[in-house]
Amino acid sequence: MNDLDIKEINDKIKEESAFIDLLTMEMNKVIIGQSHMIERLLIGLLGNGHILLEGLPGLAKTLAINTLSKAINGKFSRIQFTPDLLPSDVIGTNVYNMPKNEFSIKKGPIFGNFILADEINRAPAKVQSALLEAMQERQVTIGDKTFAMKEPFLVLATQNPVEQEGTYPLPEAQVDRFMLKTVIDYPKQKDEHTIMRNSLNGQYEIVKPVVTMKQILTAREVVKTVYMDEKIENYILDIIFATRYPDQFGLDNLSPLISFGASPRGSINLATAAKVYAFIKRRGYVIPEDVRAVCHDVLRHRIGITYEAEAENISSEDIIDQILNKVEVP
Amino acid sequence: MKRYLYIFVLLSSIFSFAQTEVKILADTNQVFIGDIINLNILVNSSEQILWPDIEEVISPLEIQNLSSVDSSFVNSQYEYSQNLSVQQFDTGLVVLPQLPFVGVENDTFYSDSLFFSFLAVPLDTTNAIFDIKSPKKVPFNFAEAKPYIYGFVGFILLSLLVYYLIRRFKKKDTAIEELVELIPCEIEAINALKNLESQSLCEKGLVKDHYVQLTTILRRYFDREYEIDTLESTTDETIEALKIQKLDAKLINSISDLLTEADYVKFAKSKPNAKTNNVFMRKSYSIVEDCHKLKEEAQNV
Repeated sequence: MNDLDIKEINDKIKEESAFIDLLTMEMNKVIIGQSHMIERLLIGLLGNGHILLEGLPGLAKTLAINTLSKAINGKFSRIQFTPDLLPSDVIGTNVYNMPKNEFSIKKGPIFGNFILADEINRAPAKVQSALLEAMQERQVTIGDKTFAMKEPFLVLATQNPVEQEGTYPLPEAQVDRFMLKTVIDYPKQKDEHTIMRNSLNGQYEIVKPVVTMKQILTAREVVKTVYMDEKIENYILDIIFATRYPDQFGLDNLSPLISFGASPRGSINLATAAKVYAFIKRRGYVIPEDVRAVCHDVLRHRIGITYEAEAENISSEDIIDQILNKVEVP
Repeated sequence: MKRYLYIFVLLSSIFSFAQTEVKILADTNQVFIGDIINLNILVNSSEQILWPDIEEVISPLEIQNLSSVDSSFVNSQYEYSQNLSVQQFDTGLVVLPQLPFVGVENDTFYSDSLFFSFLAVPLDTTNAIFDIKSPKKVPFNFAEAKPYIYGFVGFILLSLLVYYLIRRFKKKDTAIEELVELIPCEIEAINALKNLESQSLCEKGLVKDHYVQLTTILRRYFDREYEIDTLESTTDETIEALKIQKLDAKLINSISDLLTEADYVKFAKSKPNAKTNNVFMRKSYSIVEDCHKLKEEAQNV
């Protein structure tokens, strides 16, 4: 790849990323004050990953993915996870068809483009695992038939950080399958004022399809061509290795606070997310800023903290901050 | 004749008995409560005596002092003697029972029993009542205070040793820091830039290496001059941190241009021409000089 290649990539990106502004504008019509969440949704969508959203109730999690689905004209499904949910309620099952005297397959709500798995930690492990398997393998087997998931296939799972009683926390191995874990905070006062006023006046914007699914799939291919220099690759690996062996990076104080570091899936997803971020910023190459911008969302659910860290009120966020402040930028 | 025979047998049996005498001599038999009575036990016997356990048999009197048993054999007689001191802490009459002494031929000999009277101390109620005496003040004794004095001196010496060692190590650290600080950051940066220029990396086709080194020199300089962690910061973060230092907008733009161009070279395979490389090299010198000049001016103000 030479200098010309980068220019070509830049041109192609400018051409193929034009829809991002349209999509963002369309979503901003409905979702107010959650630009970070919208940006992360786009990273998940273009990076072919899934997103775990954590936030208090009423922060427009459902509305966000529904709006995204409408703006792309995709099929949207919402599954409310409850303790009595069964895997067949998610993936589908064989149903006896009496007139034909045969079993026919009834597909579950997972057969959509945009799936909202609401409060995923309220369903037992077998249901979680049915969903997460479909997320990872991108195929579902019902009876003796296997069905590939339609592309784009984006799962947005939500978790409520409060009311943890009677929930089934996702095991580390399954959380690792989410490309990003995004934490949503309350909107700013000014934004909430707009939300309140729109609601009182009954001014609900209608979302129109502004992007085609083909555009999304093409953009995904362009994202793959975004150039990542070896220095950036090494920077990503340094960050990942610092989560595993902090003492090797002069972070001895973190050793007793980390129970396990990020997996190789972490480095893959960090690299992919950085590439998508560069694409969103209309750049054909990745710079350290891109890595740092997505680092928290990619790593916060991949670093296990010890009881000691919990006792000292140190979160994985704090650990990532310390790592980023210590690992030398290329 | 038969009559004489009976008398002989009778007398012979009398003379054949062991001749044993047991005496207990007391210096007094009436004392005040708690006072001591000295006793002397004497046994004179033709056979050996198994001496009893005096402490057991003398109860309820308490023995204060008990000598060992002294024995001798003179004129076919065994003589035993033991001295002891006894006392009693109850008033009244105490009977020292007969003490048994057993001979080796299984004969038992008893001493006489003795009576001792222990009297209470008479109180003179006619005198005035006095207060209880306060504890007696013991004069200072150096021997008793010695361990504390030695301990205190030891603690002081140990503390001084620890203080000395800490000072010594700190001094070493400071010495290293001072050594680093001896080279001012702007001179270090200018020297490094000159060294980089002399390597002519761009002419050798190593443009990326040239810009990597160039940005490292500048970031290290900013790190030392403004005490900001530029080595761990991205270009945007570095520029933001420099803006806080209230640098001239023109100078900030110049730094931003250089770092951004370096990012293109480092991460986007950009290869600027020789003229551009030279311009950025000159710019690097002026950035260091201008930044240092501004810092000095700010300090003087």
